[in-house]
Amino acid sequence: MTAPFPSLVRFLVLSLYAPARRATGAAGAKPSAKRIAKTVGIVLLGLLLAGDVGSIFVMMNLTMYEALKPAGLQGLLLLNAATTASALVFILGFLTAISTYCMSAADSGLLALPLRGRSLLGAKMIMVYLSEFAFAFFLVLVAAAIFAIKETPPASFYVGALLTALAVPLAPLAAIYLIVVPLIVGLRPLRSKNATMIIGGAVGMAFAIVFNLYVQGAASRMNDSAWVLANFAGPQALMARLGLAYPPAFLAWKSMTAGGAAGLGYGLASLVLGLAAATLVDFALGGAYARSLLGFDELLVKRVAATKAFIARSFRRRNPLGSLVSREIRLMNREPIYFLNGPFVILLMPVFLAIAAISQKGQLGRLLAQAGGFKSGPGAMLAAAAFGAFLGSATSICCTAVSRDAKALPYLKALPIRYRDLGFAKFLHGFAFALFGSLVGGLGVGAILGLPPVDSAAAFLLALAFSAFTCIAGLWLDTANPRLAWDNPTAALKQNPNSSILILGAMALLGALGALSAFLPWGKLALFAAYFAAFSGLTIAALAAYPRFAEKRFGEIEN
Amino acid sequence: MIKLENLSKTYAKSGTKAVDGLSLEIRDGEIFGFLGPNGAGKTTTIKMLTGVLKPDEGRIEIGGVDMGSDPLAAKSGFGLVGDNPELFNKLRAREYLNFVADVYLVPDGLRRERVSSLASRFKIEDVLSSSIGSFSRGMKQKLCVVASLLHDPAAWILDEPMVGLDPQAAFDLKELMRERAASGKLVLFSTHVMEVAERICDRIAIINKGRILFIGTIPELRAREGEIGDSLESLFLELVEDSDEAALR
Repeated sequence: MTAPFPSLVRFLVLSLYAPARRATGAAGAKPSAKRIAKTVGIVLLGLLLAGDVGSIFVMMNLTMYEALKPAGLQGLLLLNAATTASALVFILGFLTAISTYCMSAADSGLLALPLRGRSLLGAKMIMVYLSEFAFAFFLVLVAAAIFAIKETPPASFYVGALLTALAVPLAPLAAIYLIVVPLIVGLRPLRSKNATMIIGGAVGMAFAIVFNLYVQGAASRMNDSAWVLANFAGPQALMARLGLAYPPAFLAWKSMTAGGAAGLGYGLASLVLGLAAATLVDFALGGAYARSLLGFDELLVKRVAATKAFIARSFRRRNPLGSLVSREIRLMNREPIYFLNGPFVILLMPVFLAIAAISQKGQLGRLLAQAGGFKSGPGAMLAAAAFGAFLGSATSICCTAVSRDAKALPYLKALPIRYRDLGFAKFLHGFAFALFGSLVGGLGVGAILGLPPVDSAAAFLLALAFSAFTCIAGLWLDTANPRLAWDNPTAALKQNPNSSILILGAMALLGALGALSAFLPWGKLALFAAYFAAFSGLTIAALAAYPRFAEKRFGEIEN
Repeated sequence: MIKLENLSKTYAKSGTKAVDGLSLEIRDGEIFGFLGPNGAGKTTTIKMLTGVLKPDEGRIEIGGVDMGSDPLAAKSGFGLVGDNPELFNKLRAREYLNFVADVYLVPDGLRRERVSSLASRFKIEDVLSSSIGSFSRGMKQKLCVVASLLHDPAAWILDEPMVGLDPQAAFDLKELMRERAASGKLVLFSTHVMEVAERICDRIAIINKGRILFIGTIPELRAREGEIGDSLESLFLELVEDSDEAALR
């Protein structure tokens, strides 16, 4: 028998982090090729992501070390790492805490069990801590590794670094729940999955923008060591002042730099302080947390008298295909997880583009001035087209369209709808957003690069042809291999391999086309004509072949 | 009329034979009950009948239209209340009803008239602007019932329709079934509730392990089993147990 609290922690941790499990096959049965490919793909993606984020922090830490070393302030690198990790962990932890505040069915079921409020909150805090720790460990590891390679510190440094990684997330975790629980207890409208998702999305977007601004701004000045020393990591810099004023970061820093027993003491003090803060919050707010879960996600039925005028206004005939398309749009945009990871992407990306353009305006201007031939040749048009194509193919609408409809498929199949029309409505939905993405991306980048109107229009058309191709390719993929069994909408979109295959495939294809264009000795018009004809032709061919495939494939689906 | 001839279905993934050589004929103007224990093949049969699943063998005819050769015309001939009302929780009730009416090409005047009368009959007329996600299971079931009748189909197919309904709504649904049968339309429904089948069905079919054990009226079942005073429930249990024992032998 396991005690209730560890069992509760295990239950929540598995609910959030455990991958979908399939029924185990016979003993000794070999995993299928599809499963192996999926596992390899997930591992590669993880490595790519870690490498991508890691390279940013490696470059920043390396540059900072080089800038601080001459002044003998290289130890501040570790203070900066502890402070940065605390700040980033606070933001990411806040997002996780708010989006997992009430995990619908799981938490509702827990309320009926004889568990104390503090057990419920404590287990939830541990669940959030795990992802925070992984991130803090990663950030501290990067700085500590650079420091260790350059300075060869004593063994106690490594113990201090580990204690730092363990302790850094604790105080932010306590602060997060100190904010989130009273916020949700106090504001009744926040007690819904949609509201928490929207808040999480807005905070996530704000964080992504600020982080982007921070990285873009820093990246453009990183080679200026005097600037780095004065503004970024010097003893008077904001980060260092914050670090020294924030006891957990100060203790973490000392645990790595004091050495010997003193270092260990600082590390343990940091851990005890963090644990005390988290426990205090848990004991103080556990009851309130449990009470706030009661009636979470309760929706009020809106009552409107069904007068003749209301009925006449509300019930009007429309074309069945139009009705199918509008159903697709409503179902996607009203599910926060779908909207935030789908159509919202093409609203967010241009903001990043604008930030990058503004923060690196000078450098971009200098580069463009130096590359005079770039604007007059095909390069600038293709760059604008590539961004539009990237944006237009980034929504995951078509490549998850059948999976998202998995639960409704049996019902839809019993209606007198041609399966081709069902698929075509999904394509039109994706294409509408691809059109918007191509317009924003193609014309927006065209404007930043100062392209003539004809070139901007060509960039838009190329982007649209590419995006339309990715829409129909995604639809084929998800029709052929939909994810039919899922418990929450996240699985149909974010955890759908078709989405990763399509987005990464589109990026790889764009990269390959970029390399091909550099190699081909063709002019603007020839490149435009070749790419436009190729992608339009492929799209038309795939669209023409889809009806037959859809009629066969939808008929075969058994769910 | 609905005709099922020698239908068989084995699920590709699990290899389970859910329906095995099933034949049935349901006449216009009758209420037909489809009974069987869990996993007997009721839902699989209904899914094949409504075009959701392709049978491995056999033929389905709805109102004289073959499902295999003209599925759209066949599907236009029935209204379905499925076993899962948790479908479009993000849509408003009126958006869902409009969608269904658009798919069945119901003209404006008729859709307004039918929405008004059916929604008020099931007492959901004042929640049509509300999100389906805010409804109780019973309200969702009532909405599915209303949607299934918007095109006034000749055949009405219901899979476990009483689940989640309050007594008044269950009564109204049974009344509606009787009215439709009286007007010459066909009603086919699956149920676990023997009392409901006993009270309103003109004929029943009992299915177990994908095979029909009995088709006929309840008095015919009693006569066959020689248990005149027994309830349908005990007759049903006896018949299913006998078939389980025969399968084991």
